[in-house]
Amino acid sequence: MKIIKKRNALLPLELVCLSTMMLFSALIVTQISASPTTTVYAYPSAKTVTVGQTFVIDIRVSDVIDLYGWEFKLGWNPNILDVIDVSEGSFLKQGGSTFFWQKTNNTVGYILVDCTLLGNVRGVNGSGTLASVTFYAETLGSCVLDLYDTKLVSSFEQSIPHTANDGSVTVSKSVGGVIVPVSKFELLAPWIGLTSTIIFALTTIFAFVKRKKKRG
Amino acid sequence: MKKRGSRKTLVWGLFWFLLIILICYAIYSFSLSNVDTPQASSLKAAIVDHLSLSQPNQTFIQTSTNILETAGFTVDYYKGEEVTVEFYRKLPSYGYSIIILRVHSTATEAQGTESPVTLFTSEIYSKAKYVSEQLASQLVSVSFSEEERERGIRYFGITPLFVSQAMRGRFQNTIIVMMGCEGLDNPLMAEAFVQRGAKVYISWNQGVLASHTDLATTHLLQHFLLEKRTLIESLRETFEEVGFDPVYESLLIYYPFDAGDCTIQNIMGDLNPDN
Repeated sequence: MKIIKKRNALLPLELVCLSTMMLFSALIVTQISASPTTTVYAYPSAKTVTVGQTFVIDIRVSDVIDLYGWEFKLGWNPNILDVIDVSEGSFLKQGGSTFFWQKTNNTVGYILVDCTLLGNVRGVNGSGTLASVTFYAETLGSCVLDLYDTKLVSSFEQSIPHTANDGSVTVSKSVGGVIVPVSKFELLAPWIGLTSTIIFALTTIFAFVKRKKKRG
Repeated sequence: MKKRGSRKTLVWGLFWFLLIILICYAIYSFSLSNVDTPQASSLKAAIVDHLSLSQPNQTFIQTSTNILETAGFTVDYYKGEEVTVEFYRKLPSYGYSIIILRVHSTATEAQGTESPVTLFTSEIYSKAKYVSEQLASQLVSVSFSEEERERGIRYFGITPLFVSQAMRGRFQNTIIVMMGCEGLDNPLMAEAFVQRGAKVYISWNQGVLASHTDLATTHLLQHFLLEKRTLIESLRETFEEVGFDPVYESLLIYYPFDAGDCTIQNIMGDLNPDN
């Protein structure tokens, strides 16, 4: 009987402990789910350029852990832009020697780029630039820089979950122009010519009439 | 003797005839350049869309028209082909309270030297046309780019002298939003508009992209006409939202400098004949 009573007295304490634990575990779960996720993204995300301009878009990664290799495809409207260069960023090089490979197709409008660390080394942590893509703006228009088929791999050959964010480019044109100088003499030239012709014609007629009168 | 007298009469007659023609022409020209045509009682705004020929943007036209109409203005739209020398000549006489000049403009000569701000027309340049205006430097020849200049594609451009000397009528405290490049690279065009009766002239201090000027102007109209902020507040807000032009790093400024405190209510008060 005494034991039962004691058990009953302990029950509220157990409940408090249990609810505290539940609260803590809920907090931990919330913290984990709110932790920053790994993102592969185009930077700057929106770029405005003028026709004929060359510009660079970086493909960056943020908040990654143990990155050993990566791959992505980037698509664009080939009528508006052309890729003229793709180069490796500095991020993965922090881990050691790398192998970088890229294939550009300006007709369809996409690049396939991949890169991996070499040898038995640990992956790289943090945020940085994976690759830099240099574009040339051909004509007016807007297009999305579609980042797709992105892959991040850890040193344990595990796929790293991540999100990919596209970019966009607007090719615009200035609303200016140039003043083309025209000399005043050029403007007056036809009038000077016309006046000269009339004066010449009148003088000739006058001289002709005078000579005729003299003869008569 | 008789023959000599009749010749003298003929010469005098010709002289008086020419003099009368000359006086009549002078009076006609003077009356055309200074006449104040009657103003409409309703508030009118114009969108002069010269850029519709090279950089059309229907979204901008629709949005700015909506803003102007919501603010109580009747909006007239002029497409690129209508932006001729004669259109600019008559512009003050139409009685607009707000004129949005979505036009090409420049303050740069082909050799790169600076010159007064020039607004483009869509009228093809000819040395034989508007000769007196060309000799008076009211009209000049302009091209959209060096490449077009080399290909011989040129248009008439209007200079500040055209605004101050060759336009007909006067603006009635009109707000001029000049969306083209370098509109306030130097104040000559702004001064000419203000001398002809404009209240304020807003434009870019350097070159600007079509997309950026459209974006910034929409924001400016929103703040100035709908939120009824002062001009300087509206420009500041616009700058905070859209920043410098991404390529030319230009920003919208205004002339004269004492117009910064004006609001659309002040200006509408001045404009509305009932007030």
